[in-house]
Amino acid sequence: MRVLFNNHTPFSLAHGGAQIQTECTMQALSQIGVPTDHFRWWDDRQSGEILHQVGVMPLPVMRRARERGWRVVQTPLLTETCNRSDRELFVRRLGVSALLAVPGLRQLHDRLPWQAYRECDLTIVGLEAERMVLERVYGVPPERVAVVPLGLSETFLNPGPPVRTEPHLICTGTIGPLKNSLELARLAVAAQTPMLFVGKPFDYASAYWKEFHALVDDRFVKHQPHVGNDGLVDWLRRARGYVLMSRNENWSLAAHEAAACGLPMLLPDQRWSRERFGDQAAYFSKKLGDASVTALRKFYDQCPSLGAPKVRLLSWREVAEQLRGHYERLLAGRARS
Amino acid sequence: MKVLLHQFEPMTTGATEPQRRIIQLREALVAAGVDAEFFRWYDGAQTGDVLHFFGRVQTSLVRLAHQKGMRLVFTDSLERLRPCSSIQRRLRRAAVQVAQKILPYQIVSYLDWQSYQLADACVVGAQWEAEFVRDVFAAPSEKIHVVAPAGAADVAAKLKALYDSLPRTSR
Repeated sequence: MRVLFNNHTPFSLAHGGAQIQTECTMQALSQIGVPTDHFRWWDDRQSGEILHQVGVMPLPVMRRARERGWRVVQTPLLTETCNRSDRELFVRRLGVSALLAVPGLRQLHDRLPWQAYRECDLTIVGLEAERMVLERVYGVPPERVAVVPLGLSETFLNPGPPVRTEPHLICTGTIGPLKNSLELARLAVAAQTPMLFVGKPFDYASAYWKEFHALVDDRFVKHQPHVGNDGLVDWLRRARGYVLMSRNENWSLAAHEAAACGLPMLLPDQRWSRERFGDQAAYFSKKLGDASVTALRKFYDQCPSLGAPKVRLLSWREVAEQLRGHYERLLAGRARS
Repeated sequence: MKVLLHQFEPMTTGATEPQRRIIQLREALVAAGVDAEFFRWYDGAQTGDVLHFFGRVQTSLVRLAHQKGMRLVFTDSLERLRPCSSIQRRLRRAAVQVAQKILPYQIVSYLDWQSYQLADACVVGAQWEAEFVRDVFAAPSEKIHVVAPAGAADVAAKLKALYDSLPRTSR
């Protein structure tokens, strides 16, 4: 069994969680004896049994892969959708069903990911919230959906005891609008809570980055560019607490890395965070504004008495073992059919 | 100048003609003096000046390329279409405009119509295709380039001239 991995967002254009997920998964699969390779569209001699797309695979591409005899697995990031309210999801479900039921719109259907969800051999997601969206909103049969958590590297699984001697809170990840970095920096200033941001923007020339950078005063807003895993663990262990205020997340590797390093957490109140950390984390109010300033200040003050969420953290090897099981079942199903 | 060639569809064992053409095109571009590589999605260190995508490029990819200072060219695949009259094009344009007004943004965004305006150049294979993308998708005339799918060397020479003519930066 050889698994080819693919991603339509090139790593040289966008770093981040999907890159880490792809690289760590491939490495761990290789370590447990499952050969992997990067999919190369230009190589008609490349062999494999499974094409695993991190992201959504367009339907025509999926069909072409099938022509080649591959089984198709995809791992979409339902980051925004899985955090919508029940009402929003219900409306979405009606819209999806109605649009897919209209005949004669093949070109449109081919470009939408919804039909691809239904036709994919197996869709693997990290959260139960994502599974729920796939089944209820997009009508994917339950047997074609699997939940496999994301892993952590050994550096984070064995970080050493938390130190927590620095006066600042810490926020890790890409500096950008999706992470609400600018808003969080403003909040830190308003609440007078020192906050260290560790990460880099996609684009150093963007207005967003410039606006963020203007707030860096090394008092309430501090910044470190990405520092590698060892350096990151060091920053996390020394911080007072962890804060994330992304618009949406699904699994959030960054939050799990912080939990592994023993930090208490302040998170957005969304499905993903409730599913993963339940009542073991503090949450921002769903309404931004003064309430967020209060929440941040309160969290900062309470941090010394708070502990890290105790959630199960998996290694990438354990993740790979779960994936291998799903791949094997998929291929066994093909052998039977 | 380095050009990165990119598309999504896997080569099949009996690869289609357009796919074969991309492979041959890269060889012809190299022969014409262009440093052309396939875009290795997994190589975070790969750099380029121009990203040339085959198919209708995702608007998000155009934005990402621009953020990195790359210029983006795409060769649209209009194989399913046939030449149509000015009136037919106007009707299609009206349909696109109605769809943009009544459909939720997220659905419209999947159709990647904005790519025609955002990309630095759109390559088509015939004059009627140029008229189509101009009239239906509102591609700016100055960004549309007709490069007939003739021999690979001829296409490569025309593309080289196109790459050279692009502004130095997309910003």
